[in-house]
Amino acid sequence: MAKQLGFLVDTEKCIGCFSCEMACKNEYQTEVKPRWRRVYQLREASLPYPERNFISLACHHCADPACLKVCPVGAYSKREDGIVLHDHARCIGCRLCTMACPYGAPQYNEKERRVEKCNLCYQKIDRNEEPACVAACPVGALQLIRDLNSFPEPSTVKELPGFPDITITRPSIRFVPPRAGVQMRRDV
Amino acid sequence: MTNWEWPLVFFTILAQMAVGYLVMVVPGAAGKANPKWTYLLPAGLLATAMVISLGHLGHPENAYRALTHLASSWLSREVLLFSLCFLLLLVAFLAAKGGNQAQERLAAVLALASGLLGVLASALIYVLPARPAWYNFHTVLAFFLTAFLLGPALGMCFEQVLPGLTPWQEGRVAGRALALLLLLSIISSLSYLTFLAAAGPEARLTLTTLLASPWWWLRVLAGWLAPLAVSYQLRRQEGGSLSLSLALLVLLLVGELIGRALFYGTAVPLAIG
Amino acid sequence: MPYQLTRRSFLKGLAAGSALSALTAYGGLKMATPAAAVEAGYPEAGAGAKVFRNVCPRNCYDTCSMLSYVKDGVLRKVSGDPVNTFTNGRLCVKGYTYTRRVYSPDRLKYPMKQEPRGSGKWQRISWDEALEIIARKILAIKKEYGSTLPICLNKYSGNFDILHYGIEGMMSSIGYTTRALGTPCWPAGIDAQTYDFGTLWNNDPEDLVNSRYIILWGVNPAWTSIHSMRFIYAAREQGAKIVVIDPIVTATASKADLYLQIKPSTDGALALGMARHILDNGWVDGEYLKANAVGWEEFFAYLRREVTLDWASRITGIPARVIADLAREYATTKPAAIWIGYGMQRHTNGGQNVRAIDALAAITGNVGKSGGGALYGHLETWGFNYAAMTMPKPPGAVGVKKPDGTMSDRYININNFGADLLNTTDPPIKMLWIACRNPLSQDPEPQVVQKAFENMDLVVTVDHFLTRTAAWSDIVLPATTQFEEHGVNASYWHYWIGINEQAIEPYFEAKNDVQIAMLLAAKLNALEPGSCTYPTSGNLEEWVGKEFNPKILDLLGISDYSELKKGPRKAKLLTAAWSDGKFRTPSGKIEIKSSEAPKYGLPALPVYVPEKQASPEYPYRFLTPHSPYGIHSQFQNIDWMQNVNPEPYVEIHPATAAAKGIKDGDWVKVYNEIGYVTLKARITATTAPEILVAYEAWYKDLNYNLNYTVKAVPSDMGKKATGNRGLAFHDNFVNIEKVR
Repeated sequence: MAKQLGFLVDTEKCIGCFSCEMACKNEYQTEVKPRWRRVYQLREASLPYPERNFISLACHHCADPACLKVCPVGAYSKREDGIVLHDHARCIGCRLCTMACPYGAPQYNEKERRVEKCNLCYQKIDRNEEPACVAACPVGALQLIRDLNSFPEPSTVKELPGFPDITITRPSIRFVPPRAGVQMRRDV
Repeated sequence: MTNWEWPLVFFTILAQMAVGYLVMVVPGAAGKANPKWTYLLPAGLLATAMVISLGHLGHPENAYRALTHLASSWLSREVLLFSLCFLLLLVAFLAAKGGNQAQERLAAVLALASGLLGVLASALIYVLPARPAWYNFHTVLAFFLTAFLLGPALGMCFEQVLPGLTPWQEGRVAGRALALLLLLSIISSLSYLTFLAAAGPEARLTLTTLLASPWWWLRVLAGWLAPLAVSYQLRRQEGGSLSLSLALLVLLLVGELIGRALFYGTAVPLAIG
Repeated sequence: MPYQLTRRSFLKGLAAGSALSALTAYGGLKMATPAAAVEAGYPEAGAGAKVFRNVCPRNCYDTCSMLSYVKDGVLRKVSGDPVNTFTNGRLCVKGYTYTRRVYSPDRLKYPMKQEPRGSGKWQRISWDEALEIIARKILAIKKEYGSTLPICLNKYSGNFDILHYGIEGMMSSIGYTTRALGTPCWPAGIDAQTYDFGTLWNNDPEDLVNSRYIILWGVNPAWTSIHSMRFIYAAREQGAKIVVIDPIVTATASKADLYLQIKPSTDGALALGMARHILDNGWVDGEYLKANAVGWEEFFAYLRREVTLDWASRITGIPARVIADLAREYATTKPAAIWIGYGMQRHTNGGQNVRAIDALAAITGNVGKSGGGALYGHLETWGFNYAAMTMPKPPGAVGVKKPDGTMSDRYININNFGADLLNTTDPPIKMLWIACRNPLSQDPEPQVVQKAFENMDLVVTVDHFLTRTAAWSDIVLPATTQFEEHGVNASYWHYWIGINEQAIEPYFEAKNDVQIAMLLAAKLNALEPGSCTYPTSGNLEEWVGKEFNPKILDLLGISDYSELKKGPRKAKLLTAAWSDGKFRTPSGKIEIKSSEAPKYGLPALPVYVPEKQASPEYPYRFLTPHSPYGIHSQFQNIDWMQNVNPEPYVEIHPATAAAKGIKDGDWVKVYNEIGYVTLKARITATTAPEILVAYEAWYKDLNYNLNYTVKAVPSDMGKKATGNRGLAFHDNFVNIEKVR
């Protein structure tokens, strides 16, 4: 099996601080609107207790990337380590990938009139450094999985409530699900 | 959700009208006296549609690159098929001019085939799991229904000016056929709405957005109810009627344009979180 | 497996030619080389940059050590400085927006003059012109009133860099002036710990890893001290239990092993109920108390006389058995730490509640222990020279006469600034200088503050942006950011100290407070020789050097401040505060019965003082805590932050929303007798039925100001150590209605 890099999102640890998201913008000084990485608050209704739990998502560098398939100009490529890269110069801004990706990873840059997305900091990967988002997480809730094929499964899951159907693109992401503590509430 | 995608709306509607028109005119076309209206009109429509589609691109100057990913991109295939269709129509026109009937027939039939495949490719672009409102056979059905409503409606108008262009010998046949197609379109829409109601939260959001939108009800009126009434009138006009045909075409065009704009504007992506 | 390419098929594809490979069954996969992809448009912002050391000077627990990346004189990106083991090379969401803050199109570039005030008719002026106007006004006031007392300074926490105390120095250097005294943030807790221990001093927060039991009491580090969470998690991984006590389910509460939804402002009752249960079960650390505390006998008598578990349960809304379990776990799992938040002391009984928690830590022997403590904050690393601040008065300066015949500045209450501005006479206040502060946004009753501005002859504001306050000034002066100046910073939480290196040239004509002071001094002395004592020369780096003394150098283990250029350093303080047993109270012990508190009209013992109750007209408590997206009125105006957090909202419990006919996303008006704020409703059971929650911020394009509803109600403590009592921000009661 080919190597596949991926992200591990530990929702038990994630505090919804948004550092990862902003560190990504800081690293590439992106335009205002595109959010290569994005922190989402999990819907209260899908949790055992009303809580503030979050997941941090970027491009999942899917095993079966929808963006790559639908792109009419072949702007997408998949590296040997599984990173899905988008070629800005080749993109004609048809935005089909933004419609096809179940995760909203590719986003249109109005100023450059083309799409862009998370590149998993491949330049850092090539230097054996951590991606900017992972390096920014203050609590270790966001981690890099060096190869999903040899990643131990036990404590992690492939999907969470509120995470789109993983059979569409086989995203390279694993989660530690949120752990419900004990709540003594006054409204129950 | 409020992305109306006007270039794509006009592109798909005009291209589908062109292909629908071909369905009308190609079968009996070879050797007839009006190749200009038979081939150049749809070719022109198709070319206009494709030029309009460039308006959707961030970098239209590099649009030619869209042909380079045929291996997996339905968009690449769509561009190829519609381009082929256009070129084959030109070939058919030239062959007709040159009196080469066999060549004309072959080119015309191939143009029709690539046109129809083009509409299929066009629809398959949007059959995306990430957009539950699109991810079903209604997308394909809707695109073909657009072709089969607008093409004949256009043909019927020209039939009034250039008799013999289409198989419409009598207005009432045309009216009846269109009324049936309209009923089919209405039924398929009802089926679509039922599908949306049962296809998860994103699709349900599309449904509520649709039903709450005045544009949807305008589409119902302009695209279905009013044309039904007109086609009922047409059914009683033996020789057809230019004004009624034109009214029908305009109504259907308005209805389909709004419908397509809603198609793009209300497709809620899969929610995260 | 159509999209998994092996090296071999890649080479085969190459051999077949790229055009052909685009049409293969591999779906047009291309292998990208890194170099090609760089051309494809992903340049790293920090590539090839020179790196400088900085410290984030904002009012925050974490006071991050930063690195700034500069190329061609432009700040390209920022990162955390990994040398600091507390902030650990990571920044928060705000820190990572700094490039957008420095180069924000909204940033003030030049001195500007507005005529008339509040009209929005701004005119660019030169620094010389601005200083001329200011200097002439100062001299005119001095002539008319015989002193500089009509000149008032309001400076606080917008920038905690030590050099920025230069603005206080500038005021001192022109004579005796009026000062807004106190702190809105945390004074009740400061005084509580001062009465109990002699001052506030928390264990090194990195020591939290050694705790076996951690109670996060009214504090939300997940959003306000993100780096602390790592140590809390590390403790949990070693078996510690994490308990969060908070009226609302915060992001921190969502990570807790046990969350207790306490009624706001009743924390003291919980602590006392726990103390009684501990006392009854013999879990008191008597030996520790005998050696280190006074007044515990009276405290125990009070507990036995007045406190029961049922009483505590009734007051706090927490079941008695839960309080009993909590007490048992806390008292018997050693060491156990309590982190006392600033939110829980912003009440009319806030300081008293902190004292009750301090007592709880003391009777269980958790004070002075690694992994233990009653952590609130500290100022142990703040022993600088304050050279930029300490200035002699010019000859002949007239101030307020003190009983001993000496003179002093005149002090008004920073926590009731508007009313004090209006009420101060003889002489009245005629000129305001505002630095590192945004009172029209952050003060209670900003309506009153704005009214007080009308009495002023001149309002000068130094800031980065045209804040609400700057917009109501006559002159605004552009300030530098930490990247454009030298400086030095300490934290009130962790033990690290770092210096700021100037990384880039000042933005347009921006200047540092010390530079402004020096320029104003030159201008004043040119107009009236001898009217100002502030030095008129010295570069900022020299000024930084002047802040260090042998004690602080020793604390940092260096011989010269410039060694900090190699990285921030951690002060060699005791890891566990008070582990030397040298308390700074009059008795030298923990004063569970305080000898000082009665002098300020407060109970000697940490008895329970009832919490403020809602009225029928305004039945909802309106909590207005911090969001992760801003520090007070800073950062939310930055475009990247607007993108992440575009609009304010109020959190409403589903039961309350149902009773009021409010649906998620509705616009609602939150109001009381002094004002209102209109914002969107967010229905969530993370709050309680009688509590509404909205987050303080300055949205530059919205008339959004929570403080329109906040009255200047003082908290119980703060007078002793900070000069004025704090603000009971969280004893704010409102009603709510749907508007559309």
